[in-house]
Amino acid sequence: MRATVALENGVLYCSGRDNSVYAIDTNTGAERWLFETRKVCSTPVIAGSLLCFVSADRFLYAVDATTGQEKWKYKCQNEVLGSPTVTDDTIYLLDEEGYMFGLR
Amino acid sequence: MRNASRVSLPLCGVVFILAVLYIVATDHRTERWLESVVLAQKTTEAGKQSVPLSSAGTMPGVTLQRTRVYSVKSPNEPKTIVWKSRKLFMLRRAQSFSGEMGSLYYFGSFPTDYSYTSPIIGSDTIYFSLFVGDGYLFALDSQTGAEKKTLKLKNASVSSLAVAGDYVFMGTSDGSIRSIDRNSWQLKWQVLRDDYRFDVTSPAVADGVLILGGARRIKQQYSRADGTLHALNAMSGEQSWMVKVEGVASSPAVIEFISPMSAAICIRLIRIRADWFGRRTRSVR
Repeated sequence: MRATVALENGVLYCSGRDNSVYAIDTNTGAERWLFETRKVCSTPVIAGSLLCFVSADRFLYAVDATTGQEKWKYKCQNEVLGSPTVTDDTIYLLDEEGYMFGLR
Repeated sequence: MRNASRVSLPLCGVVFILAVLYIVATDHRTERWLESVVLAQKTTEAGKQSVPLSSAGTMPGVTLQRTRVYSVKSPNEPKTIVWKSRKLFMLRRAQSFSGEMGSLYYFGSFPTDYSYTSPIIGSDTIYFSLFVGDGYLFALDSQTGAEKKTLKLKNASVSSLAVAGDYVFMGTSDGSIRSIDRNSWQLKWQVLRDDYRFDVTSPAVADGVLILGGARRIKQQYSRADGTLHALNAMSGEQSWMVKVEGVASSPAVIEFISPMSAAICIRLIRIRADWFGRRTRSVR
């Protein structure tokens, strides 16, 4: 595990090297849920009730933070560097080809 | 009777004084005068030092704890790309080589040294830093994607950035901690150390104090065993305190930042984080 963790309401979200994102109960250490992608994932960010992260499989994922159910995913043109930056109306991403872009 | 007057006279005096105080206190003129005094005091203080800088206030949705929690509404599935910047950099993950030695032809590739930071947003500007042989700081307009500024640092890498008030804060691999004015792009202050590098953690600003981790420099590399956590006055760059830690300090998170308590809280925090990763941490003050 190398990414930074995201922490909210007693649940810790982190991505591992095994292409997955974990939700772990900070009191018990128990795994709440696990979301698997095809490639390694970025540091997850919490935006509202969703957990957003990008994976090296070029998808931007939005997962329900409580259940771990996929809400939507967005296919990017290139692999994304770092984690997404989320504001009320736009999601900003930086890709490996040197482009930064805003999604709405 | 005489005893009674002895008691009642001072009593009357006290009641009279209390009554006068009550009238003065409840009078709207007194209230206004008090307000003006408070306002004057506030203005003088503001003149001396404006509101303490904090990286939480200027970045919408970003909490001080830096745990990547955005207090925004849940984003809907994106439909369109609203803007795309120009090509900002060339990232080479590997450098290939080839050549001939007599009749022997050889070729191959080796991984290149590069790093990047996740973008942060502060008052309509997106900032991120990058290292591809040289260090770069990019600032883009968040509405249009137009480039506002690019700073280049020769042969040095730049840490993640922190934005607070009118300033961008960063640490670099060549041992500097810098504060740059976001409007004029002038260097506000810089601290130079030849024994540490400061690109290993993301800085945080809370209550007017800049906190970032450092790692002892060993030529171009850094020691993973010898880390520090530095706290500096965000306006002047003056060092407030420094703690040494075994292992590189992680990016700081700030909880309930109250100046005299901050050191203790941060040490505690490093311990918690270090314990989390199963490391033993020692703090020296």
